[in-house]
Amino acid sequence: MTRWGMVIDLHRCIGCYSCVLACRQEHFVPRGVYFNRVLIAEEGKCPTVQKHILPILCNHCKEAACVKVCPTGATFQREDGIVMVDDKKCVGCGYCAVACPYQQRTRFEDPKLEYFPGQGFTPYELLGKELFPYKPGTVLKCNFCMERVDDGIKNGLVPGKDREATPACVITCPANARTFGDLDDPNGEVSRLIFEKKAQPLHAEFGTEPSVFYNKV
Amino acid sequence: MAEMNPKVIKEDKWYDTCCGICYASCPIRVRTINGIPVKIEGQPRASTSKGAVCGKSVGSLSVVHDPNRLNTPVKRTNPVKGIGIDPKWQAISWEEALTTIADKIRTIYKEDGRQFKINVMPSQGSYNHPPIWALVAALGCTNESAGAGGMLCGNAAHFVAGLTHGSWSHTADTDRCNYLIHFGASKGHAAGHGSNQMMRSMADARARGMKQIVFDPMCNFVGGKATRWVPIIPGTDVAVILAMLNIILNELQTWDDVFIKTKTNAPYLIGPDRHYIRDAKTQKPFVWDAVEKKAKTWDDPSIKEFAIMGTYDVNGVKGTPAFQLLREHVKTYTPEYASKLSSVPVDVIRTVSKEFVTEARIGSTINIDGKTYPFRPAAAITFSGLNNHRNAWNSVAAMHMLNMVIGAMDVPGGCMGFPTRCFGYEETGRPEFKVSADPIEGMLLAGWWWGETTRGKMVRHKMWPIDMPTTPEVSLGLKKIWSWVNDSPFYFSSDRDEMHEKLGPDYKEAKAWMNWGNNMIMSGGNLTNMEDTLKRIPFFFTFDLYLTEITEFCDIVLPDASYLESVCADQNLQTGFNGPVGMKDWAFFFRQPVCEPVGERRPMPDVLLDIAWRVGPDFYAKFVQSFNGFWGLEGKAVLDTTKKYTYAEVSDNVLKNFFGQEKGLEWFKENGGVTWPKKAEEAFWRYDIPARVPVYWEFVLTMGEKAKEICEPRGVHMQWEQFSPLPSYFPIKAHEVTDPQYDLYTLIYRDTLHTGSSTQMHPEIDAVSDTNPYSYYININEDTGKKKGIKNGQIIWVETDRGRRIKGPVSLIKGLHPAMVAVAGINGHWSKYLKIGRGKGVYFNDLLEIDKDHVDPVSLSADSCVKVKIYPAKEEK
Repeated sequence: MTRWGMVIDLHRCIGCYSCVLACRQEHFVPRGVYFNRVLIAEEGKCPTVQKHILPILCNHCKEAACVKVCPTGATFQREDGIVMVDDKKCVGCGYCAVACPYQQRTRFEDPKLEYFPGQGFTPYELLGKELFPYKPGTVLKCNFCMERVDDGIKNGLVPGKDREATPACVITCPANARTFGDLDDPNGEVSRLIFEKKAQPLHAEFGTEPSVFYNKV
Repeated sequence: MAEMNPKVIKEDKWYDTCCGICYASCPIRVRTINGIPVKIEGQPRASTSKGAVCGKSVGSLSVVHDPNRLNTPVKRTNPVKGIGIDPKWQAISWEEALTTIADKIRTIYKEDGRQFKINVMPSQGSYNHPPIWALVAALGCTNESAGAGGMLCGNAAHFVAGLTHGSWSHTADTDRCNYLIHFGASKGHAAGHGSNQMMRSMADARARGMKQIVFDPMCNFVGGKATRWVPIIPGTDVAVILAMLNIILNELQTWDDVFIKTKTNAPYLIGPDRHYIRDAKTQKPFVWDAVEKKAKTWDDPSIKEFAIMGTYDVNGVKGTPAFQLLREHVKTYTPEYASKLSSVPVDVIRTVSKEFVTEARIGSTINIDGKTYPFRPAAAITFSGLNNHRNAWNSVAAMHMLNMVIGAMDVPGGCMGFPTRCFGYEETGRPEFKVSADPIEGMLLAGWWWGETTRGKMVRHKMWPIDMPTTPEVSLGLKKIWSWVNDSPFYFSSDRDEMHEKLGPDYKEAKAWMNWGNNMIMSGGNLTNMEDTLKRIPFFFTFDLYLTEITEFCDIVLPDASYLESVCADQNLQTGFNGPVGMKDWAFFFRQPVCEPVGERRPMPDVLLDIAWRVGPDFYAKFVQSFNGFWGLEGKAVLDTTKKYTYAEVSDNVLKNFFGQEKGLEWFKENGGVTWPKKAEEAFWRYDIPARVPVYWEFVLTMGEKAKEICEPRGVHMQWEQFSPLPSYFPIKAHEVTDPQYDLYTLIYRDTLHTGSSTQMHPEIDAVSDTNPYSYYININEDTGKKKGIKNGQIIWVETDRGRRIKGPVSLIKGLHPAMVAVAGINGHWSKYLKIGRGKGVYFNDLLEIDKDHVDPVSLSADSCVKVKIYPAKEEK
């Protein structure tokens, strides 16, 4: 069985936001919605300050709270662990967004938001709306670039190894902070990194069994 | 959520090209769907990008979608020029625009080509300099500024890099370095220096355990990743560095003896007049052979042992080896003294000094490609942190001396020239980057990618031999006196009229200015100076993507094509900040358009070719001849000076000249670029070139003496003692402010999301900047803020002791020296045409004084640090 997962090396990440922006470009993510974000925090007191940079995205939890609460079955988990939202079933009730302990879901409210407010949609935005016809009133989130993963596998590529089959946030990272792969492969790169770096998911105590791990700095 | 609808896709293409959002010009790939650019990724075939790319690059895609771009030439109809005054633009035809400009240039060319001013380096970072320099050469123009037309660029840093590494800049061999000290250099984190290459290689280095020691007022990008962040008062780094040299040379008594004796001028004998003692016949400096006990010229093959300590009698003159003088000089810089100035604790200075020499592993060797090299896995690097102060030259020179004493220069693990030596593409031997040694004094002659041929030359970075100050002056930037500087403040300093009157050429104003994309009113210091300068220009035209703030002073604005709409043959050679470092494979990628320009936008190089053609055959011939010269075009690649070219045709010749007849423009369009393996002797050339670097800057003393000889009799007094052969601490102006109400220092820094002054125009970059706690704020240490009763988000004034002030919202942060106010540059646009960027962030440079007393007298670098007070905006009377 395959379960897709990611390891993010916080020692490498420099907070350049390339993951945030590449993700938005890959999916023509509507204005006001983010599948990837970067949180910045500080700890300590000058001069012993530690700056924390935390890139976050959907954790594609094994025990996903969003899946459990969805009243229509719109949120579901594929066999490979990717948590998806079927916008044909989603009624936009927002239970999933409330239930997600990682705040990784956004109800898509306003399709009229423009890149250049008041100046109309550019041909780029119009193309994006055709390519990714997001429905207002439904919930959006990271899908682990399942289009790249699925197409890649169909073409004989290996997600995590071949860039065409690997999520956009991973291949764009200048610091090479992200590694994507099969958590169920004990000899795979993500398993090795989790073991060697003692990587942990965010808030393991929630019991959601996230698929995104972070090394300790 | 929606799945992608592939039926929409009628045409799906990828283009190999180079980014243009900053000067790193990282190789990228751009996807177009149905002819519309939709995606930017890194170029996986380039060792410099490795398939990745930073957020700025990704977000800059909107430059081709922006409805606020300028699409037609415009001319002003309101003759009154000034900040915020509407030029009342009127669209005109290219024919009218080019005829007007060509007529002006023709007149100036016939009368006196010097009287033209050119400002290069656009804010969007889209390099294409050769056509600009062709115009400079054709006109005989003596007034050119890079650095976004300003002077906050690397005057001191480039000068010293040329003399110490033979290159435009420097970085570290991070593949092998284990201990890296950053003195205000965010290379690998936010800076454009190699951008993605350095981000990757520094992350790799951290992952394998390299320690990063960061002296920086702010714990932000590089500070935030540091093993040890050392907050420091701006302008005092040089005192800390000299204290480190004192500890290393006098307390630890540790140095790389081979390097010091054979690769520096440490053995050169210095006379009582502080100059070299020279052989009268050859003019070569003497050294002392400790075995034969006699003076010999530095390159005498019979020298058995270089003396670096003691004093010796040379034909009746007392001579002291430079190294001895250096050791004595730095004794005055105790850690306690440096600590008091800098706020860096004494124990930190001692610990870092000791760790630095220990980690350097002096004496160790490493085998690379079958050859044994000294292994020095420690380095110190810098850029703006030391460069943008009144003591810039002394600071930068001192820092490089840290690398000299441990022998960590262009050897594995150490500080590296950037770019480094290149033997050229394996099939053609071109392009070449060659460093060499001066036979008289042994100093290093800097290399550059562009050639010197029989058809002319354009050596971009000639640092050695120094062109000593002379008269008569030909440049309004006073570049016959300060010949070694890249950018001059005297084009727009508050004292420029006085300086021109006393020192300037036989003309007092340029008859016309040309600007390429830069927004120098925002990058050149306070607005009073800039407005006063710019409104006096008789004729000013610019190429720009937008009607930015600088266009408020222009007569004609030409709609430039962005980097995604242009061709550039040698993009990867342009800046000297993007060559592969260390043993990374050579990667040469060119730039091609990924879409047709919208409206009437035209790329600047084609327009300049058109203008040159219109000026006349003689002018055009010189223009094209310049291309032949500085690209070193040979054989079939030589351009015909009577033929009207497009820039694509020129680029075809350039590419064929570099890479062979079969690899012209069409080949590159298809293939994007070439890569080839780097040889170890290209990366680690230091011991292959018989050149030395200065631990004693004797020629700087001469530079100062000659400059003083010219300036003092004309009533221009400057801090001449800064032309010191032994780098020293000189306080910056901010250190001398004693009024206690001005209790904070300022820092302008490079944000990871911003570069130049155009990134705010991109909606995606702008939106993400709004989520960042620093980008658009005035950052203050939270304890300082609490003491002053200032809260997060509050609007405050920041006011200098000279009464200049800026306003913006506060972000109280922990990672900032308590005595600092930090603002990211260059933000705070006010042009109504910049619909996205207008009003975003805080405009910092209006705080700065630009005059001869506020710039470094050696390098003419401006000082970005001033002393300020802060107070809530609501208390404004």
